[in-house]
Amino acid sequence: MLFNSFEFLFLFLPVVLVAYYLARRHVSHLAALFLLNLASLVFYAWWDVRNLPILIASVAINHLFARAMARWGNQPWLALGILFNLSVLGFFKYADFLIGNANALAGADIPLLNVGLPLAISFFSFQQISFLVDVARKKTAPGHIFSHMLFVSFFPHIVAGPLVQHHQIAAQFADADRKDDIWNNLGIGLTIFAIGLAKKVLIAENIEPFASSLFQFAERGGEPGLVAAWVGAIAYSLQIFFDFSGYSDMAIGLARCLGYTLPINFNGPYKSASVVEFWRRWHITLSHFLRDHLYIPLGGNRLGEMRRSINLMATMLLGGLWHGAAWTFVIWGGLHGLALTVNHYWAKYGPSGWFDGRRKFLAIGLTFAFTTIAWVFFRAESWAGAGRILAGMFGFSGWGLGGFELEAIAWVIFGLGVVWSLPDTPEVFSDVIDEQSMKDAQIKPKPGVRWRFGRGAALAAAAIFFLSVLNAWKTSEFIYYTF
Amino acid sequence: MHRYTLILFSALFSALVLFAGFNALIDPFGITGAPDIPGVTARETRTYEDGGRVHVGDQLLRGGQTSILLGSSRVVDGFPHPPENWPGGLYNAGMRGTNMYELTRAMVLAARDPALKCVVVGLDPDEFGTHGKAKATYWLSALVDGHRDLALARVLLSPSTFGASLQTLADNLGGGSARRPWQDLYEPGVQQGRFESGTRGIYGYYQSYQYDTERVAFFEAALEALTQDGVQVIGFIHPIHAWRENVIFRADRQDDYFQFRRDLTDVFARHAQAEPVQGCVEGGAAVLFDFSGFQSPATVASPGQPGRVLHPTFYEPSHYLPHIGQAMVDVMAGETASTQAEDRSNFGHRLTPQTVEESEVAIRDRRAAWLVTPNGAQADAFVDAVIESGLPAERTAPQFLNDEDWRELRSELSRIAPASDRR
Repeated sequence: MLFNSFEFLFLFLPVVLVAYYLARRHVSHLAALFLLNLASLVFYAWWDVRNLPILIASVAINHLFARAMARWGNQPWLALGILFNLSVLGFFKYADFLIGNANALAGADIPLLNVGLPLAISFFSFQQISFLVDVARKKTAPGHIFSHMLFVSFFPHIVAGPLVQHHQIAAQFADADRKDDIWNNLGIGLTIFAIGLAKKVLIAENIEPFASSLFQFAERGGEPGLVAAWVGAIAYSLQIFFDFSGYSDMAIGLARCLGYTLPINFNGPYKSASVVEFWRRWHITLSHFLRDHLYIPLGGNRLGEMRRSINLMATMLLGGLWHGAAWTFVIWGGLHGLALTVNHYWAKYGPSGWFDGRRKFLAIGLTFAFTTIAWVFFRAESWAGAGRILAGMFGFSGWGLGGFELEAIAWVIFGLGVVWSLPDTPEVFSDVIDEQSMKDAQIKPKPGVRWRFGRGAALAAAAIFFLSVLNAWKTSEFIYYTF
Repeated sequence: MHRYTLILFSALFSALVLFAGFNALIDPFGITGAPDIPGVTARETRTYEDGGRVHVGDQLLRGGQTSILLGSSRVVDGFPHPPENWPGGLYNAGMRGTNMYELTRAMVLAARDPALKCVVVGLDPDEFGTHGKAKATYWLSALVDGHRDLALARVLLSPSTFGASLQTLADNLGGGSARRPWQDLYEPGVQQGRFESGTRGIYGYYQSYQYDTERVAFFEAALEALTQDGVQVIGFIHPIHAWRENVIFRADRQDDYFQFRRDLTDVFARHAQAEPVQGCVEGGAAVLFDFSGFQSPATVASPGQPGRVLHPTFYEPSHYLPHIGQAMVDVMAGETASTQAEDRSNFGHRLTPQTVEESEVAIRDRRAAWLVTPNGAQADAFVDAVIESGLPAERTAPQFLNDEDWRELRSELSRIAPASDRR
């Protein structure tokens, strides 16, 4: 069930909202949580009910590990727990990748397992690891299994994040005395949801055909020229931003409709003037996860510049691999690791303030161009496909305007106009987003456009929602659903 | 905030209800069952436009047809509604501007119904090219997921439906009609201009044409499932007028064209051995007919200069008249094609691995013979002029099938009624 599908918008969501608030008011908080749990499991099982036992088993086993840690100390339970989650993820996501590579290297013919990738396994495996680490660090307690299940399966975020740390939401679930300001929750939540829905169905869905066309053209042996390659690649940069940040906005809005707060995941990443800044603004919760659970445990920047570079590279390579079991994702991560390293060296040894003032626009342009080039590896299905597009982007295939459409240019200009001239959702709603979430995402809102909750804004939100619903008929999956 | 939320809810709810209510009342695609209001909504003038696939999807989901005829505007305009002389009747399920993606999904949706015995599907290279895989209205229709309620919600909340509703209303109030029939559009004398402009346009089209074998595989996946489950699939390659067919050669796309024919022949041959529950024509579970390649109705000279009568077999180079469609039905059903003014004694034949090479030779021979006729020479000279004018290739971003398309197809294949239910 997609957030932009009619069955979600007109059936699932209204029923869940009404049932949850009725249960809170007339039965109990626990009953309301039970309903949310049930609804979340239904939401998850809607895709493929065969995946449900994997999710439930993951929660049950991780909960046992957490209980064991609380009773008998962290080790070996923490190590075993992490190993368990990585093994599950490895089996479902990376086994065939490893077998394929082993076959290629050794000339063997080991059959692939073809087990299929359970929906959201990358997200919930990382959440479970984060949960165990939080328990080990005494940031949180194992709590009730009910609460643990909801932490993992909560329908707004289960499929594609934001990656929530247990301590960020467990206290909210446990707060039985919370006040339900229903009008406030629904007003703010639905408005943020509408913005996310508009990003997805009004922008990402319209840009998608131009990006897909380029990548599939190249996969089939086509050699796009300079303009066509850049237009298609930028189209993908825009598509993935509006798709994923739209999903994150929807998730945050949905949770808010129920009175819960999810962490912020995006903050205008294409306005970044460096790759370091980009990772502070793009998929913020993943950046934090990788920082807290990989980069810092590896030593972070505490062991000298060389070691920092190695740590950065290792973190980004694994971050790339987390997205998908293919070398193209590893290269994408490696490129970002390299860029982050160069960025740090430039900051230390480069001319001070060279990119200040007007040159900041150059920095923004270069950062965007770099991320766009890197996205080619992220999106391409093969080396050869990525190579043909990059050859086009670097002018090795001529101007060649095959597949070049004015409509694509128009959408690319429009998309760039939006990302570079308008503030992203967290800034627009900074007045109603809690301070902790803004602090966690390192967002210091600048003066600018804010959503004022007056009559005109209500009509505007209704209009955005209405137009988005009218265009929600082509319900393609979110990009991050496949990770 | 209370007021804000109330305004948001009430504005959104009102807008959705009014919008959907208007579309439901006008019902431009004929699916809601709303009562017709004479002079206001009675004439559903948009049923045969792009929104026709909404109507077709709804009809296929309702079921009850024993045979369906699928295809593009060539089927919508080139066959009677319904065609005659077909055992058990034949529902004309043509959809304008369709292609193999939509046709495949329509076949599979129709095969959910155990009453279905035969699928007749019109094919040509256009449907296997990399042009858009579906019209916008496809995504509203029941063809997407086979859910009537969801399809109804999508249709009622669609801007495409709203546009069609307004147009239907205007047509009813103002006495206008939809973009058909062709005869109204092409008066005698105007038709030759249409042959020329059509030929010019199609040259640009074929210059950028890319044959996509994945679409053949997509179609075959459905054909295999249908034939295994007792449905007979009868394919036929459309006739197109020699003025247009010649352009395939002049745009250097003849290799794609012949490859397309060979691929289709192989696909049908691979599944011919399955056993149909109740075949409509002779020849196994999968039968392929060929009406293309400069056969007689397609080589009737273009209308010529003003004053000439309407062309007897084609509206314009891409679309034939319904009596040609009916003649094709007759040939497929095993009856001799009725002849009118032209000699059609050799119109249509089976295409099999044994005949496909021979048919290629015959096509080249018929083309050569046509080119030496005055009209053939005129058409060829016209293409020379088009090429000399430097007409650019059409620029459209190629579209390809993706994993989601395949996943959805496989899911839908599992819902086809088994042969045992069809008996």
